[in-house]
Amino acid sequence: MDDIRKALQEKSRRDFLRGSALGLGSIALGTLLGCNADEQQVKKVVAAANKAGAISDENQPLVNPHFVPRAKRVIYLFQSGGPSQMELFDYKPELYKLHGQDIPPSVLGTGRVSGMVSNQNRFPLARPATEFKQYGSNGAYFSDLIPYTAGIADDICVVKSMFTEQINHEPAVIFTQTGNQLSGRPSIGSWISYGLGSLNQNLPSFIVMVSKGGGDQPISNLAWSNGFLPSHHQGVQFMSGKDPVLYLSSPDGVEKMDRRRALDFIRSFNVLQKDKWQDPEIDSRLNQYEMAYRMQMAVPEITDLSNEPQHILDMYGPDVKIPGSYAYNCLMARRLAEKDVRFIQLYHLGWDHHGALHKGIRKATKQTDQASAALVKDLKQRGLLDDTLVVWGGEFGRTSFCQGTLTEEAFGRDHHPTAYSIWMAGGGTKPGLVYGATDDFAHNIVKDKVHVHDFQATLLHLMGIDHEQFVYKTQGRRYRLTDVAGEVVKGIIA
Amino acid sequence: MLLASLNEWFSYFGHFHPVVVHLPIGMLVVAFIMELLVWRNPALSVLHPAIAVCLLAGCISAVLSCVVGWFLSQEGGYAASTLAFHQWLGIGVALLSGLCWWMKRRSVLRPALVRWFRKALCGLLVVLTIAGHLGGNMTHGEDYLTAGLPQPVAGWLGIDLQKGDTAAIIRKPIDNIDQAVVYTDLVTPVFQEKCYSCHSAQKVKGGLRMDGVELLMKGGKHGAIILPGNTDGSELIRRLLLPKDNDKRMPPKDQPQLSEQELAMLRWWVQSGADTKKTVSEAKPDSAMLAALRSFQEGGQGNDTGTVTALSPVFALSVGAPDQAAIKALQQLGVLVAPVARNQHLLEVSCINAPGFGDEQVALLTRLADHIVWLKLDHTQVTDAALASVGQLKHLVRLDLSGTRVGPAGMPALKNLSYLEYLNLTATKIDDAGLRALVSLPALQHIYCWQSSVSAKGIVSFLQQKPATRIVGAADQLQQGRGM
Repeated sequence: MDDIRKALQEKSRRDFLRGSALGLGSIALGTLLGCNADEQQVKKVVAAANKAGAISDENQPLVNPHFVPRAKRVIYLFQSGGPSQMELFDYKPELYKLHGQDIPPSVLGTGRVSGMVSNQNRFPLARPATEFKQYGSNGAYFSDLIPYTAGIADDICVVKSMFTEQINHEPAVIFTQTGNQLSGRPSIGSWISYGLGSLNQNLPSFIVMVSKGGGDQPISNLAWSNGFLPSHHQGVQFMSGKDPVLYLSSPDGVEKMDRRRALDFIRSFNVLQKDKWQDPEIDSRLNQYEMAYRMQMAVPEITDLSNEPQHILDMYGPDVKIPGSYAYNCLMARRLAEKDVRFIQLYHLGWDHHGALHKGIRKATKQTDQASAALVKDLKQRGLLDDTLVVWGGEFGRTSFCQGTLTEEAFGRDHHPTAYSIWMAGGGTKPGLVYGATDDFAHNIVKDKVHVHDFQATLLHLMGIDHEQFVYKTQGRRYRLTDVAGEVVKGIIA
Repeated sequence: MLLASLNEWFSYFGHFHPVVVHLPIGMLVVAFIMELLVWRNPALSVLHPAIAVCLLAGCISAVLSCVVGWFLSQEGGYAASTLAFHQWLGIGVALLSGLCWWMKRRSVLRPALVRWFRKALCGLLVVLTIAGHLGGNMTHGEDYLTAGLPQPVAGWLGIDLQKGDTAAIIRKPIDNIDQAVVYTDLVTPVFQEKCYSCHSAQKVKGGLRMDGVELLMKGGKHGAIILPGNTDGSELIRRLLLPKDNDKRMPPKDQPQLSEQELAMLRWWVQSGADTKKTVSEAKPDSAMLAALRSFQEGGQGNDTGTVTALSPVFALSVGAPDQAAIKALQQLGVLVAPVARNQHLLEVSCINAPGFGDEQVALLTRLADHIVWLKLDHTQVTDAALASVGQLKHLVRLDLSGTRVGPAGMPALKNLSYLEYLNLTATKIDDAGLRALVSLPALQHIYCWQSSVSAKGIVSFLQQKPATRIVGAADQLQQGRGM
């Protein structure tokens, strides 16, 4: 604190601080006003801040999208661990015949393999753990492990040609979520929240749910971090159990009126403090207190499933009754989408099958297949799928050769960044499309490569944002979600 | 055969000109500095022989520069007048340095020559500087030194940054796209930004200049590049569409590329006759093209709105600014009102935070009748009575009435919504008769009527009349139930 005081007393430094603090303050204010405000009002606020000495033009939220958006919200069903493309979407009949033979060196190439298999002296191919059938009007192949997803074949767009640059979980997850392998950048949801603001002032624009029961591999909350963006844009995590949002409900015996008065009193202190220190984080804090107050009303209504009819609950599968399960979170995602929450991020763990693939992938698909498909169908029947983008995908794929000793069922597959599959539905994507293709070993992409940055650029594009013009300046340079790369994948846009 | 390969070699050696040219510059300048030192301080007379050596080496390298420079000039692509100046000044440097060397040698015997030698050496330095500057201009562009000049120095020198300055092209904002002249307001800025650096007065690669109507239409050394009305035959468009790694692709792969919109705009311009006078409205773009052209408005470069074709034609309409008082009034009720996008006056309206919104307030919407394209009234208090007002929102594209008390009686009020594509009637009292009233809506693509009284038969008979519509309703639900 003394350092800040000293700095404030140095004139040259004070001028600098005044400029940057007011600049950030105006942004926070602009974001608070969000979409509820017309552009002129925001401009007026910003102009007032500029007059007071703020640095203009940098770091202003978009307020309105660059162009007419196709999607208003995103539900991102993140499948953490690396779902195996050969067991789900990418049908490779050759692999059944070549079981036990080494992958040809020409296919393996010189791409890197992880430390877990790099000391293997041979890489025998492993037969997929299940059979495939054709579904939908385009005859797309889906495995027997995901019958429900296969049932919505005509509603989803499967991308078989995703690739990433990372081979280990943490950097790959962070790369997919923030566009950079090192943590510290804002995640996609934070960018969207910062850029477009909220459609519903009673709920945060970025909500995160991590499902229980998948696996014991942890996921870092840096995946939904706000990075360098104002901190009220970080993902708000909904927990399972009695209190979905921790410390949200008032303690017993505290009336709503008392809470309001207390908040107003705290607010007056915060405003005083802000006048003194000019710290933009105080704005964030003010914003969060008010949001929490409004959420006290809105959240219990959302988490109360008593008005869901039985046939809807049945759609999502038996787990839907268990708070915190993937199915429960999918239903919650639909309820949040109905309330116009911009970005709903689910994480399901338990896709990392280095060994006992047969058993592991059956467990993971059983937990996720029915509910994922139910979510899409439920959104569709309510007319929400047109402007809600649903994304199902992980951080990388798995190798067609086995990890460890090849056995009939206990074998595993290692991480594989150079080709994997995801699917998207709604929000302006082409339904019933299979995009891209891999070689006979699902090892290399042979058609229409889609880099993680391309995917992110496409997601922003569907939300009406030009990823190249959506920047935030910090530490002396401008940052984008897609950093310096990424091209919109026109082929999957309807 | 031999000649051809010789040509290739000459052309290859030409590329060494920018390297070799620095040798005479360095050596002659060193000779000058040493002469200066000797002149000020006779004790340094030991340098005399070194000066002679420098001059001789400078002269030889200057001759060499001239030779490879001549090879380079044969490649073409340089402004003729600058090139001629540079060429003769370069030859001048070579001759003058030879003369200086000769005088230096003789001056040992004839001290009277020293004064003449020094004058000649000063002259050599001047010629050298000018020749070097012209060479730099040809390589880097004429504004290379002036473009980056910081203010206020640039102002003192009277350098106007906007004039002929490729580094700082400022597009003239287009206020009204209909009135914009296609060639001057849309086409030329693209050429200026992406093509002039190689195809204008400064550099004339392939004999093509694009900085002027006649020059552009004349084409390059392979003939005309624009065949009006024939995009496939026009070399301009052909080159723009070649794969990036093709040698003939323009702009070359390491240069700034055209955006999709710019390319689409150029193709349309050539297709529509490559007229240089017509305004946009005279050139009659179709609605999709007009929507794409609108992205050039507000000084834009054609934002990446690749999906415009699939969007409703409403977004191509020009409407004025909405009534701010009406927006305020709605916002005070907790209604979200926001432009659908940055360069649009069209609005989206959502009552998600105004569940009390009902028939009394709905009249407020009609004050924004030209502007509202997306309207979310789901789970509010509105009834059939409100639909009379909603029916006046003539540009409506998406209407969500799910979970409200509207029913079949209100549907006929929507008959004038000629742009309506999406209608959500989930969980309302709509029935088969109400559905029939919607058949006349021309743009309708999606109807949602799940949890309503619409029967499978009603949907089938609707689809018989409008087969392109997608209806999601109870029947669809049944079908899906069976499928699972």
